[in-house]
Amino acid sequence: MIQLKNVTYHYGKDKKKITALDDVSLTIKEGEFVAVLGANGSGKSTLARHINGLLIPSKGEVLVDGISTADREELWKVRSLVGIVFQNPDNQIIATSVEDDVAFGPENLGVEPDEIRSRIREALAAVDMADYAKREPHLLSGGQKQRVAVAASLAMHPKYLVFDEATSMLDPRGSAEIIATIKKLKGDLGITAIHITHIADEAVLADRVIVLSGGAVVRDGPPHAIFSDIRALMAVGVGAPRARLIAEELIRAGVKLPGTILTVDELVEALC
Amino acid sequence: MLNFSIALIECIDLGFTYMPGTPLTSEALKNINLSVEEGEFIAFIGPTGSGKSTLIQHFNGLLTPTEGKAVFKGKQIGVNIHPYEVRREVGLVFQFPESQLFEETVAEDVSFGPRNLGLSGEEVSERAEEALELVGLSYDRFAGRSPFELSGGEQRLVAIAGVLAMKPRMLVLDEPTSGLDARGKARVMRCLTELNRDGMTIVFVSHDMDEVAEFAHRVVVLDKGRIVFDGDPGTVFSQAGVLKNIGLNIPATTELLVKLSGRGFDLDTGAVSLRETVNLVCNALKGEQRL
Repeated sequence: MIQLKNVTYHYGKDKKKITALDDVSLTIKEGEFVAVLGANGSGKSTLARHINGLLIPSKGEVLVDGISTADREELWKVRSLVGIVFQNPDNQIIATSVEDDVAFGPENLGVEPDEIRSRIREALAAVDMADYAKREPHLLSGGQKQRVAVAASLAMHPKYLVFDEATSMLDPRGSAEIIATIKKLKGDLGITAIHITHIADEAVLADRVIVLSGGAVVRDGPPHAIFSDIRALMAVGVGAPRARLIAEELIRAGVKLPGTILTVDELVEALC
Repeated sequence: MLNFSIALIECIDLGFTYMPGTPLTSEALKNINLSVEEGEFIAFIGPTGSGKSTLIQHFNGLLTPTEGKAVFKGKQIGVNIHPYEVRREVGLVFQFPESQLFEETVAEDVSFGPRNLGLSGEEVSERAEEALELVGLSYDRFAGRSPFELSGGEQRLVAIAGVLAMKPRMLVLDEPTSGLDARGKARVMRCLTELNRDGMTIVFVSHDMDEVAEFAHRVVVLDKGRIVFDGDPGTVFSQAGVLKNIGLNIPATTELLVKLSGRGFDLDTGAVSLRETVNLVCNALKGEQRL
């Protein structure tokens, strides 16, 4: 379980102080697939970086399985529980072959060579990259590189995986690959996934959506409840799922439709 | 006199190879034939590595083709017209252009280009003011602020204004909305639509098919350095199978129309904008007397 208790975070000092997170309290349970949705500057990346102790709250505390991220003695324990995949795949790959890249984490944890080999196999299989173990990472597509970055995190056997706008630099195919990977990891390995995004259509796929604005949680609930009031979301700079926008226009034109439609398939069913 | 119009940009059998004659040689574009007419609003789409960015960098002479030619208003770029002259007419906005903002104030940043043209101080500030108004940023509110304290969407607009201050007749943008949130995207696309309405030729690269469907008047699809489709959005997006094979999506509007027509609805699947789609669906429902 991940708990944020009254977390406030300031960047800068004195006059130039900016409050990036403002008294955020929330709990993420094991096995959840949570999307954190917010406009540019809403604090969502700052929130992501608190979960594995890359940032420590200015006030309040973050507990990962009961361990405070502010406890420097236990920081490595926190980092081994929480993996993080960043935005730019090119900034995360360090080795000259895919398998070496995945081995880097467990090697540094002092894992035995045999165990490392089996972790590489398992992690690459989990992201459907088993056939690429010997390849050079720089020759892969964006989506493939990003899946290698996910595998490198998985090889550390984390319980929680944070995707910090991990799809935002990818093309449509790459984004779809990452989303499919998140769902698979949740289903097969029971990984708790926290997906940071500003794309409403991606947030729809999660079990739970947390909307941030101005560093504060403004909505928190299942996608159908969150997107029931799209005007409120528009007001905080977050768009609506595309199918929902089409549905809204149809309703305005006099078509009778439920106000809960989030996907094209739901819209097709409602119209047929 | 013969009455014909000369295309703004023409690519004739254009090819481009990075680092030719070395072991790292890679062919980015092959046999591109394309013309851009004055006043068009064109989207270039294609998977990563398909050659979109390489192609659009030929439109202002930033890259010189290794085969064939790029022509600006009937003059071959680099042969009959110097790339510098082309760059005054064709403004290029790179990916994440806000990373190139550097001045202390918004007004200074937007003035940088026109000042380098050797214009008088008065003309420079007039142009900066005009360019900021064109992107929808009030000069009075923004001129004196640091570009670095603005939102991501506002920074992107300032960077675009910097190019507009050069008064180009054509604007070429590489993924102008990537990384922006819904509000930022809407502002940038509204700005481009208004510029086009006032006569400016707009060419942009995008990965967001919904955005392409909503705004572009013509779509060029690239894959592995070649043009696969070139036509109006309705026609291009009706090729869902081929697009999917090369790793592209179709817009939600097209997906809806295709799925409804598969379920027996009598409708034309060629429409793509939100308004057209809503009209088509409403008409189909009326036809069945359900509306």
